Amino acid sequence: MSDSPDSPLNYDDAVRELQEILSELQAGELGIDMLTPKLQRAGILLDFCQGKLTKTEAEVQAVLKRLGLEGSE
Amino acid sequence: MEAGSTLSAETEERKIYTLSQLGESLKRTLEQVTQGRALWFKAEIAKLSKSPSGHVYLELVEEVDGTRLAVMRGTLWKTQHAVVRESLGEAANQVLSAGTEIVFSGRVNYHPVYGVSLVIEEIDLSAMIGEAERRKQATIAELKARGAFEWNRGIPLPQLVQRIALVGSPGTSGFRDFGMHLLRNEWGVGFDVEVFPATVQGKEAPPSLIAALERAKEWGPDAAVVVRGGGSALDLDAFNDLELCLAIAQCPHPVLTGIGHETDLSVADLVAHRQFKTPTAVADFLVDRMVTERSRLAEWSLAMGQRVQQRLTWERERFAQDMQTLRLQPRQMLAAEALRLSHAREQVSSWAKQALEKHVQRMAHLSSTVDALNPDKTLQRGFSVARKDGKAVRDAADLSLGDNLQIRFHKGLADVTVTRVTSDPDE
Repeated sequence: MSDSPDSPLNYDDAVRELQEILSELQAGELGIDMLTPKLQRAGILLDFCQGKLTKTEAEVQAVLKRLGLEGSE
Repeated sequence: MEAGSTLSAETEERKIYTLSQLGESLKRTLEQVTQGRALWFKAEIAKLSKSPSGHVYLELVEEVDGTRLAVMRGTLWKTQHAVVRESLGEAANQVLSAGTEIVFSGRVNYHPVYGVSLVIEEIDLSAMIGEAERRKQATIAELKARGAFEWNRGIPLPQLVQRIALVGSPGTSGFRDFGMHLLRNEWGVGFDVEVFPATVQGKEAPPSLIAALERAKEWGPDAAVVVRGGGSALDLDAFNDLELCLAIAQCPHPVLTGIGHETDLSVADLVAHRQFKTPTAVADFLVDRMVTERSRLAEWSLAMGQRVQQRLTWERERFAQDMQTLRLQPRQMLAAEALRLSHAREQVSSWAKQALEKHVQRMAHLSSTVDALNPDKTLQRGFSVARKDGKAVRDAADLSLGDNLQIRFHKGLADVTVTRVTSDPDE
């Protein structure tokens, strides 16, 4: 995803763009021509966010472990 | 030699007198002058000695600025000595000592062997005190004119007065009282005391005290204490000396005085930073001040310890809270984000489907509309189209009898001729 030509810069930007697509979809304003590219874009964004989330989770886990905050749970 | 009026020097023949003759003559002359009466004198006792027989012999002097103007012997016979001591009361020892200026009545006596002497009969203490008081008032006036009373008072006394220069006469009661109360205090407060010995009585006292103060100054104390036990008004006269008072007033550190008894107030007391009634009172003040300061410091350090403890406890609690937050907050955030993402994923899929469905429906509607407009459908249902000259007929009124029309059915055509025309289809 990150090597996609217009991959989002960061998680927040990705979420913001995703929200825009969602509200367009919800309003039913999207023409049929734009439906597929928008949907594809939404897929890219979702995958990007999911990846970022998974990666962050792992990092947080590692940091907490290093700080000795992990394991008590 | 001048031999006096009773001896003749004018005779032609030289007359030779004996010393006793001269003495007799002097004695008679003196008796003529004084007429045997006692006269009043004032003189300083330069020396004083007591013979084994109980008589007291004095060397009386008159000095101005260190220069002797006159010296004379004084005698206090044993019996008279007892009377004088009685009249002087507790001041006796002070008065009858070297350095004191006494006011006394005495008879001038001449003895051929011992020369002129003054036989003391009475010492007037009140006159002496009067003299001393006059000098004291003069000193006060002079110091006041110079503003000296404010000098030492203007120097602040340190909170901790620990390094103390003690100026006094070791061995005297006032000195001992001070030392006992200061160093053997019940609180066990310690002081750094340096003694600067000085004579505290008599003529030598002022210069001696000034020198001691000067040495004390070099030592650099927190405060100097000048002590002198109780005594008569004359005993304390040394502390009214102008030079001494100026020296005290000009000290760079506070000077505390404990001079004499409850009721005594010397000029030294007035120029000091603070005066106390007795040497003991100075010691008690210094001990109290140190105890107060020490307990204040103890309170502070206790309070400081408590504050530090409180702060540490507080910090530890906060740290624990922070750790908890650190442990939970990222997970909560990540969980919330994951939820949001999955929600978004669902929304994307469902709304995309909805959007597609809408387009499908729109297409279906369009195709049914297009269908509905196809004339074949109408013909199928049994309608037919009549055409005259190739044009569809919409009004019977356009027709005339005998017109040839072509009818188109769903299937097939027919040529017909008009036999009747009616405008009302129900007729």
